[in-house]
Amino acid sequence: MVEAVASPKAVGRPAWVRVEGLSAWYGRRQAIRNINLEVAPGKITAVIGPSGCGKSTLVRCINRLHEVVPGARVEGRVLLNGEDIYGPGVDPVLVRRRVGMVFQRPNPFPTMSVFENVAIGPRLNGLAKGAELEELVVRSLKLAALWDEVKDKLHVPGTSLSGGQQQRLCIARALAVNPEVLLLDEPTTALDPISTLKIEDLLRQLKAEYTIVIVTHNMQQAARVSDFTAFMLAGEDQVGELVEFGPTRQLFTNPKDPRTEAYITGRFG
Amino acid sequence: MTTRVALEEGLRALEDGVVELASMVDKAIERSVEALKRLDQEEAKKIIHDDLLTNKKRFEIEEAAIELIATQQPMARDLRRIIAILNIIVDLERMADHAEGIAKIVLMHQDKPLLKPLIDIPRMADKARDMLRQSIDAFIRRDAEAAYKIAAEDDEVDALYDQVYRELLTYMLQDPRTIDRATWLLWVAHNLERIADRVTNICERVIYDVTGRMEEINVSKY
Amino acid sequence: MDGYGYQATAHYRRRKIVGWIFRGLTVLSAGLSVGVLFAVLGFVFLQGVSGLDLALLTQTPKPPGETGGGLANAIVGTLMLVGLACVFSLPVGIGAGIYLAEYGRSGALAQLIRFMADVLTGVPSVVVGLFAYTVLVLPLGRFSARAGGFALGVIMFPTVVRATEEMLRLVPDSVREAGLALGVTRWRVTLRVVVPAALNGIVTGILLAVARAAGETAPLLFTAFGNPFWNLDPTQPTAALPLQIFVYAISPYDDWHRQAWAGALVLVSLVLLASLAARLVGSRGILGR
Repeated sequence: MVEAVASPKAVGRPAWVRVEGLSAWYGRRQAIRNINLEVAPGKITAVIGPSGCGKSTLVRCINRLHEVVPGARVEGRVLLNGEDIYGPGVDPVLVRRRVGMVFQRPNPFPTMSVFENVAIGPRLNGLAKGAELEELVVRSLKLAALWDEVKDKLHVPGTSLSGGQQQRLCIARALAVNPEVLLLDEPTTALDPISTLKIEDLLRQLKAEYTIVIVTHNMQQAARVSDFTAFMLAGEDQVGELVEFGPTRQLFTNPKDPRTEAYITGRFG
Repeated sequence: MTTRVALEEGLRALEDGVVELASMVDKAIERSVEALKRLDQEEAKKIIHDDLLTNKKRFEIEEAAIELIATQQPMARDLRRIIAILNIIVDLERMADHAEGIAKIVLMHQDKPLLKPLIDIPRMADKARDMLRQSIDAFIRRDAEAAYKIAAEDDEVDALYDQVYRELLTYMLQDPRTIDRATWLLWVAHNLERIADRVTNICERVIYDVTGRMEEINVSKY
Repeated sequence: MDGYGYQATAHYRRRKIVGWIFRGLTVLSAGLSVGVLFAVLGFVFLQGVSGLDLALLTQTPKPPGETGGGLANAIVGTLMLVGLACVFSLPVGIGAGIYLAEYGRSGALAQLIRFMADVLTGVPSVVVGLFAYTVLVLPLGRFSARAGGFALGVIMFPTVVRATEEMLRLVPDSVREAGLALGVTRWRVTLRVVVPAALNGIVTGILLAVARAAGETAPLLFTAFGNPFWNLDPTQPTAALPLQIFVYAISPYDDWHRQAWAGALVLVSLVLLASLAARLVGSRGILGR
C-alpha cells in the first residue's frame, strides 16, 4: 500500500482520494465489497480486472454517479482531500464538479459544436462568461492536445470529429470545469491504436495537475500508463473485491497475490 | 490452464536452449582440461574452433527471447524467466570463452612439457563443472534454496585456487626458468576460478527468477 | 460466378421469380397509396382552383344569397385557433413528455399518464368539442375562440406528449451521464442538453399535431361556432376554415359551393405545408443543423 501521502488541502490540486470500506449495491445485488484504496495525488492509478469485477462501479462511486441509477446505494467512505464525499449534507452535484469523468464511448453532446461542447459545462455551472469563457475553452482544448486540430473549425458539430478526436473533446469538456480528479472508464476501448497511444501520452502530461484514475481491461495499457495499479476480482458470489494494490512496476514484475499473477500472465481460465 | 500456449512453448524452447548451451560449455571445459593434461595441440585447435558454435548458440537463444518478448508481452514471472535466461546465456558464453582460453594455453606450450603433473587443476575443473550442472538444474526446477547452496561451493574453488597459486609461486621462486610455464598454469587456474564465479552469477539469476529480487551472493575473493 | 451450377437449377429460378413477384406487389402497393393521395389532392385542386381568387383571400363572407365575398376571416380564424391550441397544449404537453421520459420513467404515475394520453387520442373529436362546450361555453354563456382553441389543444395534447417522450427517449443515456458528470444539476441537464438534442423530433411531432388540429371541424361546431365578420378577440366566436367549408357545402348556393371547394384547397395546402415543414425540420433540423 502507498505510505502516507502529502498533507491534505481542502480544495487543492493535485487532490488525493482515499476509499475506505466502500461497498455498493444495485438494488439488492451487491457489486463491490469493502474496497480500501489510496489514490496518490498527481499520479495515474489504474484499476484492472476481468469483466464484471466491479471496477466501473468502484470508479463511479468516486464521483457519485453510481447513485443516479434508481435503487443504487453505497456504504463506506470516499475521502477527497480529507472530506468524505458521502458525508451528510454533501451535494453530489458539487462533488461531480470536482471529480470529472470520461466515458468508454466518446459522447460529445449531439447538437452542439466543438466550442459549445467545451463551453457548456462552465457556462451551466456559472464558472465563466464571454471572453473569459472563450479563453477557458481554448485553454481546455490545448490541455487536451486537440486545439491544433480544431482551431479552424470550432463551430462544426462535435460529432463530426473522428473517434480519437471526439474522445479528446470529451477530455477537454471534462477539464473545462476545472476538476481536481479525473476518472476515465475504459477511455480508449472504442478507439484505434494510434488514438489510444495519443490519449495515453496526453494522460501522462495531465497527471501532474490532476489525479487520474483509469479503468482499463487492457493490461498493457495499465502497465504503460499508470504509476499504481489496483487489481479487482469478483468471487464466486459475484461481488467485486480488491485483491492487490501497489506500484505498477512491482505489480507487473513481481505480484504478491497468485491471483494477480494468474491474471497478469494471461493464465486466467 | 491451457491459455498462452505460444508463450509456454516459447519458454520451454528457451529453457531447452539454455540446457543445450550449458552442456556445450560443460563439454568445452572437460575437453580443454583433458587437452591440457595431454598437451594435445590438435584437440586444442578444435576446441578453439568449436567456440564459434557456442557463440552462435548463445545468439540464437537471445534472438528467440527477444522475439518472444515482442510477440507475447510476457509479464511477471514469465518476464523474469526470460530476463534470467538472457543473463544466464551471457555467463555461459563467457565460461566457454574461459575454456577456450585454457585451450589457447595448450597451444602456447608448443613442444614444452607441463611444469608439473596436474592435480589441483583437474579438481577445480571437476568442481566447477559440477557446480555448473547443479546450477542449471536449479534453474530448470526454479529452486532458489539450491542456488544459495551451490553459490557457497565457490569457496572450495577459491581455496583450491589459493593452493595452486602458492604452489606455483614456490616453483617460480625456486627456479626463474619455470616462470613462463608456471604462469601459464596459473592462468589456467584463473580461468577455472572465473568459471566457478560465473556459476554464482547464474545462481543469482535463479534466485531473481524465483523471488523477483536481485541479491549479491558470495562476493568472490578475487 | 458460382462453381456448383446452382444458378442453372430450377430451385434458383423459382426463387428468383418469387422475388420478382414480391417486389412487384410492394411496388404496386406503394404506387396505389401515392396514387390515391394524388387523386384526392388532384381532385380538390381541380375543383377548387377555379374559385381561388384575390377576393377569397381578402374579403369576409357576403350575406346568404349574394355572390362574392371571401374566406379571409376564416383563414385568420384557423390560424388564431391553432395558435391558441398551441398555447394550451404545448407547455403542458412538453412538460408531461419531459416528466415521462426523464423522471417518471416506468413508475406507476408515468404509466397512468401514458395510458390516459393513449385513451385521449382515441376520443372522438366531437366529444372533445362537447366537453369544451360544457366547460367553457355554457358557464360563460357564449361561444368563443378560446373554447375552440381549448378543444383543439386537447386534441393536440396526446400527440405532443408522446412525441416529446419518444424523442427524449431516443437521446442516449450516455448524454445524460456526460452532463451529470460535469457537475450540472439534473434539471439543467434535461433542459439545456437533453431537450435540445431531441428538439428536432419534438418540433416535428408538434407540427404533425398542428396539421391534424387545423383540419378538425366537429369540435369547432359548438365552441368557436363561426363568425361572418373579422374577429381577433379570443373571447368571441370566430370563423374557421373547416367550419366555413361545412356551412357552405351544405348550403343551396352555388357560389358558396365554389367557395367551399376553394376553401378546401386552401386548408389542404395549409396542412400540406405543415407536413412539409415537419419533414424539413426532421431531416435538416432547425437552424439547418
